[in-house]
Amino acid sequence: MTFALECRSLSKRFGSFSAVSDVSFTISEGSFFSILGPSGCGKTTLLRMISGFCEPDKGDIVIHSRSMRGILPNARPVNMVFQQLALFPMMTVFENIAYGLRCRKVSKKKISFHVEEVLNRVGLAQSGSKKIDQLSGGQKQRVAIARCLVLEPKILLLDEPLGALDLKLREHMKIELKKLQTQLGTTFLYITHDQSEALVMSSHIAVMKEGRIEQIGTPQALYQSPKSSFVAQFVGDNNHWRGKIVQFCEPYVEVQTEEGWKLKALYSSSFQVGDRVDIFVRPEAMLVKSGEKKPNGWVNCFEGLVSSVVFNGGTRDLWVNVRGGNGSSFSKELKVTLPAQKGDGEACLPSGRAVEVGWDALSSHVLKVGVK
Amino acid sequence: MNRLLLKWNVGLLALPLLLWIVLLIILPLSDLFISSFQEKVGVGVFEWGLGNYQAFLQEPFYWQTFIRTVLFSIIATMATLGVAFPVAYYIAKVARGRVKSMLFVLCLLPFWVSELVRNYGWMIILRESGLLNHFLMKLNLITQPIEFLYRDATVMMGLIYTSLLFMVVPLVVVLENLDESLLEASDDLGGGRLISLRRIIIPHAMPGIVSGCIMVFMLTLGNYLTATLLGGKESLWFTEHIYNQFMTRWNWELGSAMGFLLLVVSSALVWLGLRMTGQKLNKVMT
Amino acid sequence: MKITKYSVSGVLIWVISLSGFCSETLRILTWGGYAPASIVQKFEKETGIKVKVTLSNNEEMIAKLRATGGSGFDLAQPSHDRIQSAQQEYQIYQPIELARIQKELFDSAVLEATLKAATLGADLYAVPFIWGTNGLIVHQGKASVVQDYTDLCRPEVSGKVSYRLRRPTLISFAFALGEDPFAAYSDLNHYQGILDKVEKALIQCKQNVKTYWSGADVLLNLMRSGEVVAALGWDTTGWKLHAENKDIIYRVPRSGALGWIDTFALPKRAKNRLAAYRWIQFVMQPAIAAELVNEIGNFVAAKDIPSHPLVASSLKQNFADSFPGDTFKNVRWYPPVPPGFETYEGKVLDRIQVARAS
Repeated sequence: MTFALECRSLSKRFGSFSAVSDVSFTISEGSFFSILGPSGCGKTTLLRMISGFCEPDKGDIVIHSRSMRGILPNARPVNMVFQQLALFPMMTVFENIAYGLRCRKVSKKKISFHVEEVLNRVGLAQSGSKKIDQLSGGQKQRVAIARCLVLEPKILLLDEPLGALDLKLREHMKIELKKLQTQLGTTFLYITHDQSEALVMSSHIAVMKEGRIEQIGTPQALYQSPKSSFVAQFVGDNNHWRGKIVQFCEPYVEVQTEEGWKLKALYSSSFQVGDRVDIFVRPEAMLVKSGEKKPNGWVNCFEGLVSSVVFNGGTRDLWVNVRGGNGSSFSKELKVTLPAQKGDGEACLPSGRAVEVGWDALSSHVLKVGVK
Repeated sequence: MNRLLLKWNVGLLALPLLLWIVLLIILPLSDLFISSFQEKVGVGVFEWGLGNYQAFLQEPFYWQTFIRTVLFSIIATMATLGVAFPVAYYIAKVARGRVKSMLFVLCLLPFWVSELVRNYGWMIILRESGLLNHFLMKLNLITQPIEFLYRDATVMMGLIYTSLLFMVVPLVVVLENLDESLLEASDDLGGGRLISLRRIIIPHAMPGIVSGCIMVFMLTLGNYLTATLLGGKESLWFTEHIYNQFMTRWNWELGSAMGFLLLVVSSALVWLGLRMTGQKLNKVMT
Repeated sequence: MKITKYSVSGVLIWVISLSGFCSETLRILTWGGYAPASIVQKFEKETGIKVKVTLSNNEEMIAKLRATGGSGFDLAQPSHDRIQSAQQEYQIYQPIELARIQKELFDSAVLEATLKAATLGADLYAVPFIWGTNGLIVHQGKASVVQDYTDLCRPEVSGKVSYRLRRPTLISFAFALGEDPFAAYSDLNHYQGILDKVEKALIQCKQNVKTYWSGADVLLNLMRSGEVVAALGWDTTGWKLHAENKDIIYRVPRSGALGWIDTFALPKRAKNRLAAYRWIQFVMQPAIAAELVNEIGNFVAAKDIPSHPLVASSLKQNFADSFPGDTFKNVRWYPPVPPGFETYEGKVLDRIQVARAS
């Protein structure tokens, strides 16, 4: 099988700082691949190596079975959408998009045909003669993409292009980009520090930390079974404890947290008593009950007081101040996300209400500390 | 009481500007304009008329010098742009830190001495028995000294040298504002250096180019010393004509007409330059 | 409030200083070197009058006075041949009362030339201060052929000649061509004919010229470096070069040297005429005049100055070398330029400059 892009043990140092170290991954054709990581994790350097603006110290970049070593940016079959878009302010929309074709000395007739076509595709059919500063943020975005697409790149590189947009537009553009990619079938390599962007759009995500790749997988895999504490905390919200495995009681393991809580999780053969572990529980995996009736099947169950409620439209976030039970004096604020149903308005669970919070053993995600 | 004083103060602050505009711009220019339409018909007797402008047009050496001066100024402006652009680009985009400020100071250096001294310096270097010939002879590159002075090319070089700073400064300012990602984008889209220069850098730098060109053109057109001192036997600069009319011929009326023509034509050329490059004066001058 | 105080007092100081609310001053508009600091100090000490010197040249002096209607200065020092026409055209001077000046202080020949040139009707407008001549500066070894102005155009000195493109050059060449331009001042047509002849000669001569010199500094450098071996120039320039290099001499040409005289003239609206007269009297005293001669290099128009004991012997020698016997009498002093003649001469100069060297 050939991949759209193969990175083989890429490394890049700036002085004594190692920006990217030994990064390898492959991207299959037609996928929407994201590289997710906090700022300074080396993702921009990685992208610049792929686009050709900087040369790797070690390793190789292979695009459609062709090594990119020594090939200048303008000769690589990739194009980049820049963080600030880098549209040419002195040109019209049409000229911006035609720029690459003109550089390739394509005939005028063909240029205008291709540009019109790509403008149609990105939904800017009437805007060719507009100046860049006459466009809205979203339109600029589409022009920047169209400018690359018209060159029919093998891979489109996107360097946090939504960063400059306001929230509403960003939400909208996420969907737009995803749709566009599906429709075009071009391979997208997308760089972002925003996990929700990555989750919404990508078919695969590589999470980067300090120049290395922590985990590669589908959004679902990353969300449901993160392989490291970093990924668990970086991708999506999580309630987090740290503790030690104290005993096995089939089919569970029991973990004593640093706060003194006792939590149950599903047993796995890799565990040993005494292992230091992190436990993560997604807010939406938690359930809340108020009143007398003790719920069934909750192997983890704690009493607490609702400290605040945030209504999100489709969901409600509860912050519940929970005492660790078993006489533990440490209380911890847990985030619980509930579907907002008709009828269970604020009156149902106002802040200050005493509740019980629980979850099943399956929802406790246990990761050994210091192990990848 | 206080408010009255405040008003007075504001008035006083505006006074120098007002005086400057009225005394140094409006009055002399209207004087120039009026006296350019006065014809001398006898000793101390004047009449209104277009005679001075006629005299200008009827004397080929007046308007020939005029055209020569304008052409020379245009060429000098273009040449200054050609020399200054790479320098400015280097200062704005390549040099960093101390090198950058040092290069800037180097451009400024010629202005620490007066124009006269600067030109005498050139004369010492370029004259037949000057430094340049001395070295060329020492190096056995030539056997006979060459006279580098008194040539049009020398005048041109002197003009470029004098004008360089006035071109470099506005260029550095605009080029520093050039977003590097635009160049990367151009590179990424397949544009080589020349294409990036022609289609990204130059259009971006246009306001700076135009303002630099206006300044240099005006300076060159109004130059007097460089053209007279470095120029040859046939070399005549239009300002020299104007000076002669005022000073040695006592013909202030013709001098005024010439001065006014110079003003009108240079303004027209600046306007034309702005039109051709699609720039606005207020944008270029800020 | 402080700001107000400062700005008001600032304006007051400005106004006061403009109104000249000071001790008595004498404002002189003159050439560089004509009022050296040592002489000014002596004058100030003797009279208590403060001297303010503004440096200028002939053309600018007249232009300045013309622009201000003859105010701003108490004493000006234009050349004697420019007095009449400037006065006729612009009325920038006021008559000088000869009674206030001791006539016997002056050299009679120079005074006479000045009186002739600077009298208009019954009024006299200038008395002489300093005189000098235009002649040839020649490198004897390399340009011995140059005996007269027209010799500058000989092939032996081709490319090694310089002169100024100004009216003295026109006049000099006219004389060398056998004409008498001064006599033709009364007849414009005749004069124009002479100018045409000079124009032709100077255009033909153009190929010989290295460059037209514009100031004494330029000429000095051209002669010093040997790039130019013969030039038309001032006596002082020649003498200065002679002091550095004995081969270079100032030569009075066969057709005669031309003499210029810089004068004292009273601007029309001079405020302090009495101080101006006192200055004239002061600098024309033989001892002061001799000091001035040593300082400037040109001879002050005071009586018997070339033989005054205080005058440096080298200057005396220069004078004796350049004007042997009584040849000084043959110096042709410029007559006053008739109004408007500058325009004709100017056009000739323009045509010479634009003409291509053949």
